[in-house]
Amino acid sequence: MLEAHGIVKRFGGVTALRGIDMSLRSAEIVALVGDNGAGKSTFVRILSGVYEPDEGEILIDSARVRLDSPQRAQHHGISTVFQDLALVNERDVAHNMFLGREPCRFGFFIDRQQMIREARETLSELKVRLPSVHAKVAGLSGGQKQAIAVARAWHQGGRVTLMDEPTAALGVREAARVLDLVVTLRDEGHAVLLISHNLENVFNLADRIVVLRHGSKVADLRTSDTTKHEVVSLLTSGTA
Amino acid sequence: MTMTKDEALAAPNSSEARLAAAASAAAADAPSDFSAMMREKLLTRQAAMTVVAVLLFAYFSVTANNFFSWSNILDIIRGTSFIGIVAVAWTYLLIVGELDLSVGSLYGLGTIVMSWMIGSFGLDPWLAAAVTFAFAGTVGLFNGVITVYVGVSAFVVTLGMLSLLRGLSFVISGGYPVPYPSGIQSSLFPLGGGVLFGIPAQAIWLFAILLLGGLVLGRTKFGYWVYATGGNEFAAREMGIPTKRIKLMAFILVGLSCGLVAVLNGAWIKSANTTTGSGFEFQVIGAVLVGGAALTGGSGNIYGTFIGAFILGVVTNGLVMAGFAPASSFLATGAIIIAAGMIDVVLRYYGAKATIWRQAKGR
Repeated sequence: MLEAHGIVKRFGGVTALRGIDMSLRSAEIVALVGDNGAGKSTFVRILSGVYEPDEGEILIDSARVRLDSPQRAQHHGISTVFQDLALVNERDVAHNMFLGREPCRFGFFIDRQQMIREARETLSELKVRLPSVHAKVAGLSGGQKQAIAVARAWHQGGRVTLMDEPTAALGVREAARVLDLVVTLRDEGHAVLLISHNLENVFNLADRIVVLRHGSKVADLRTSDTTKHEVVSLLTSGTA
Repeated sequence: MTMTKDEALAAPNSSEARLAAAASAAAADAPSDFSAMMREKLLTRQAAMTVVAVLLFAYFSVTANNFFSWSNILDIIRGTSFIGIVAVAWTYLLIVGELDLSVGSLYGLGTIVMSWMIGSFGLDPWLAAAVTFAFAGTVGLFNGVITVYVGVSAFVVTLGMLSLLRGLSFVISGGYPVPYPSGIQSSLFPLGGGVLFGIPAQAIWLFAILLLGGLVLGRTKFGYWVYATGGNEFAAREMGIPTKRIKLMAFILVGLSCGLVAVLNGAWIKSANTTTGSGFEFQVIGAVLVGGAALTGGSGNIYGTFIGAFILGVVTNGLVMAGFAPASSFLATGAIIIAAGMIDVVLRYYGAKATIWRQAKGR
């Protein structure tokens, strides 16, 4: 469904990605693993339209697309849970759920009622407990913030969901809830790209594991065909 | 893989059941929504400053002769109107996380440009007003481009502009007042100096701009994006908000607001003076800060700025009415800005306490 070919990204003199090829199929969880600085987040930012690649192409349903803005990526059905969560602390939950794509009347007047209603609906569908959709995000816990970011990606309703370390800041119970959500997305036919440092989670959830090292893909394995030992060895030395 | 979200949700499946099992309680309920909303509303700087404004107004009404009269209240509003108009635009700029120190100089230069166009070029006052307005907007655009796209800090750019524009005023005027040709008439002039139903035009402009500014900031997509840009620029960009363009527009708005007050001033007094607007930036920034917008960006609102301008206006006028020397208002204004900052610290302390208490209760 989503394919990336030969993705190269340079920042000044630093080459962050050196020609990444990978594909995502529907109803599949692909884990993207790699050491710090391997290029995972950069790759996610390219697929989500925040960065444009210097070389390479991205195909959705075999048609070449240009993801030059986050809106364009959303339009093509790609939603993202960013590592930094991309929340504005001073704004309330409802606005954060709609950040950058606020529902409007006449094209510019915010439809506050719709925003609040849909935010409440989405949060209760996902069983997310929050004091109020009117509460500023600043006063919420790490888990609650994470839940908002996930709920937002869910609400965008894309077919591809990118998750950059979705459980990094969470306690055990909260993390379990988010991981349940990842499985839900897959079972509903979404393609999920999951970045995680936690190999336990990766092996429990992922159908496929892609290993990045120094900006290159060193392995693309079916989870059932590999072992943690092999993946750790790929992560650290690039060979199995 | 063509299932839409709605279809997916309509079809019950095992994953939903699993999710339901993971649930431990229902989502947000109405009563706690209301209490959260009230807490956020009451523990704000704007609420605190409203109380301060009422107390100050009551104090001067009791102690200063002639303070509490219709004509004096109109005087206060007239004296505050230009500050208020520019402060509205400045609030946008501060919320996106930038600042503009050149507003006083731009206001002053605007009045000179307007006189110059009418006196030396013989332009119709309406046309001169359009030129002034466009010029001021262009200066705002310039400040914005150098700050946002070139990357020089707004403090540096606009500090330079503060001096540069004042210098231009002197170059154009030669340091002398630039009067309009004597006896000149125009339908433009009542817009600055007229009175409608006993209310001076400046006051009407002030309230119109306050209303419009508040509406756009609080209720439109542009306003929401202004808050998002200043609150967390990186997050806003990740979610596709064109943060640079939003910042640029805030700079332009400030320039245009300076152009407007320059035109209104010219239409009112039909002359221009090189010293017009000196110290103006201090009053504008004071009003915005007293109104509760944070220097770090992302917070503040137009109501707060209105209260801030009102407090400074009341104190400036009240002290004179109570028999103090006019210069004492500098002292009072400075003290109020610092005191308002201290109120902020106290509110933040109680706000943080309320949050910790709420989380300890497991909410």
